[in-house]
Amino acid sequence: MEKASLALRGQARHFVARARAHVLSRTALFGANHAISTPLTPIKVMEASMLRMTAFPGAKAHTLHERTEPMRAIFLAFAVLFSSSALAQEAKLPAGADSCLECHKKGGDGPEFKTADFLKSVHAQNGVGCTDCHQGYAMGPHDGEAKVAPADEAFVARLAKASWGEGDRKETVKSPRAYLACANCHGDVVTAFTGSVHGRWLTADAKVAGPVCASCHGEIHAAQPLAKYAPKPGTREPIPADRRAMAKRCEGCHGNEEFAKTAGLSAEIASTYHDSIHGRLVRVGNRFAPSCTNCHAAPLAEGGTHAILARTDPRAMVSAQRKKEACGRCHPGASDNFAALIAHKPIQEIGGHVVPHVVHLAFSWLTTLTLLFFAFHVLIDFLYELRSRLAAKKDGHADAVGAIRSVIRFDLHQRIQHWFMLSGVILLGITGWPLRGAGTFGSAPLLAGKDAAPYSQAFMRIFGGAEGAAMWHRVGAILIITSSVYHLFYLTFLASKKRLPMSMLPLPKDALDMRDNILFMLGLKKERPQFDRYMYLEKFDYWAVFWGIVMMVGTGFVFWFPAFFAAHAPSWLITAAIIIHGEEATLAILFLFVVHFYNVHLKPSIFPMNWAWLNGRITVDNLKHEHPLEYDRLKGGLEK
Amino acid sequence: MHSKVPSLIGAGIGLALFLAVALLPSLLYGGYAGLLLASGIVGTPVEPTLVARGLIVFGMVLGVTAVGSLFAVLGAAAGAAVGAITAVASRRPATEEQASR
Repeated sequence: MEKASLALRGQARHFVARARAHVLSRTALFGANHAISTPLTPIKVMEASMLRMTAFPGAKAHTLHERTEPMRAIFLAFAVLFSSSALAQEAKLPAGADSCLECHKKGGDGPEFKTADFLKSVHAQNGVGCTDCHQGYAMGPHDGEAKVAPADEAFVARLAKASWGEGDRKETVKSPRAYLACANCHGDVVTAFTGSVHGRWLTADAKVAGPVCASCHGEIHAAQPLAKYAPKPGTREPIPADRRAMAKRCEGCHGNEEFAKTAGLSAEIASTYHDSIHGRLVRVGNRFAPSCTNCHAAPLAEGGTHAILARTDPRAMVSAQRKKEACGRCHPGASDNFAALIAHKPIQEIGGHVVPHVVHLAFSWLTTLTLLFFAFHVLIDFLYELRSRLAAKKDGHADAVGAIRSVIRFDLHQRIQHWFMLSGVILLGITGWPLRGAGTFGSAPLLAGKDAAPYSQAFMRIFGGAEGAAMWHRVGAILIITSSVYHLFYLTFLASKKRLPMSMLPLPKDALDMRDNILFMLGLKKERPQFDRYMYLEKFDYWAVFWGIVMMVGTGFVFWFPAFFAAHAPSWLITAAIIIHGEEATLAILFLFVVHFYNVHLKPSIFPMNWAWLNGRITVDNLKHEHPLEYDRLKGGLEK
Repeated sequence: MHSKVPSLIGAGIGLALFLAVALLPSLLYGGYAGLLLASGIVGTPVEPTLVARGLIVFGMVLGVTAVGSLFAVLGAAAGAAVGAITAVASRRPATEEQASR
């Protein structure tokens, strides 16, 4: 009983507090001019059987709910008695709504009110009635009713002009005057919003009328509560789902080319974000990756998301002065240098330094030309192989003994190094490319309107989602580092025994061999060049891995510990590292999966695989055909 | 161990799996790779020029070939592994073989 009494008292206090906030905040925020224009009934004393409440000075009831004292007492008694059970059950339409629905029901004379949506809304759950927002109306039609106070006219006129993108459609404010009432309950929020960059688009004579509450919170009659997000610096917390969903609403304006053009904003903001590392992480479902509000929102004590300021404002979280504070929400130890790495620009343009531009250009050409050349090489090799097989079938004989006898090509150490390397590279490729490929295609030719992100998200579930894939990516990095370290020790050991495989060194002969081999495969030369232990393709494979490991591991560590590197290296170097990691990944993965896999697995004469990666051996036939100079050297021993 | 049949079957299954689940994503990833290359070579924003279109198509072809190869090779390796295991399992111990004669 005592518990029930306490609960009822709590409910009652809640009612009073809300009513007090209703009036105080309205007066404080909009001043006396914003006072409700229709005379309201003063509330004096409210009594219930179990408690007595004194109304605060100035509290008034609305005209549609004009209440006498006994009525109020009865109403309050019922409200207090049933409030607990009502909260536990579904929300009900507030008192007085029936009258409104006479006209605003489906098929009624007025605009339709979607009752079912409203009942699920935060407003219905908190007992907000129609006339709490739509104040000053009597029974309709409402033409000419509820005049706007002169001081509010300009504000309401701008509210009426406001529009925003709701998915693909353009949404406008239906009842601008009702927005004046938001401050009645959400006083602090309205104060923060009014001072924000968004609020100024409503209060000042800007090019377009700015966002209103509904632009971010959605249809007001169906508004849902949003999680409060106040990250503690240095703690890694998942971003609430509704914050991530909010980003789509930001894009309703900032990603809308037409709107952005009219408003004088950059239309590239959304696409550059989606193509950034943060945007891609969000697109593949990483719960820790930041969306718009995570960087742009002010700290909760300063107004949070409602107090977003222009980056030119020194108080803004994304201003030069405070940007590292915003980064520090997720990246402890973030410096100004680190903060300078993030901007709504293509990565090579961030910072305005020439090095990232040159690196981007050089790697784009390097990747394109390398892949074009080797794709051509694979193609002509494939055609040559087909011709050779057809010719062999016509001849109808093969060296059965040579196809069975084998020689050792790779020792156990080399095979272990290769196993580490291949498992690491495949793991890196399949966990990294879904992230890299999850950027937007924008209005790109052939790709516009398509999106790879859902595939990336689905694929990453194999690894336990985006965060799991990130962890496995690091495991892949450790595998290739292990392989590299092992290889360096192995080379050191061989050097100490004076057995370093010098045959792997590139020589001018390799260039001539490459030219002659291409001419041979094209049918322009009769004799195939004679290769030694390692032909030019194998040398390229080997040295490309050296280059790739230095590039990928070096730049990968920058991704792994970004704040640390940013504290010790100039920002252009970090930007260049980020570019190199992506470009080199494209080159490495496409080269390995297309060119290397073709040479050692998919070539018709080898398919399904060259077994040397497992048992270290190749057949004598293969040795004779692929490495004739080595075969000639070994021939004596092989014939014994 | 060097019987090609299990690895060929594995490669076939890998390719079938590729066609079923990975063809479209690999087209998109490859196309995106081509778009990134085009952005470096012709600059951003990428306009629908012949060079840009050519690089995107080139990326798509490489993307499909790369992912298809990966599926085929992993399938072949898995097939080879299964083949090796079944070969060992089906080999009768020498003593048992002699006793049965």
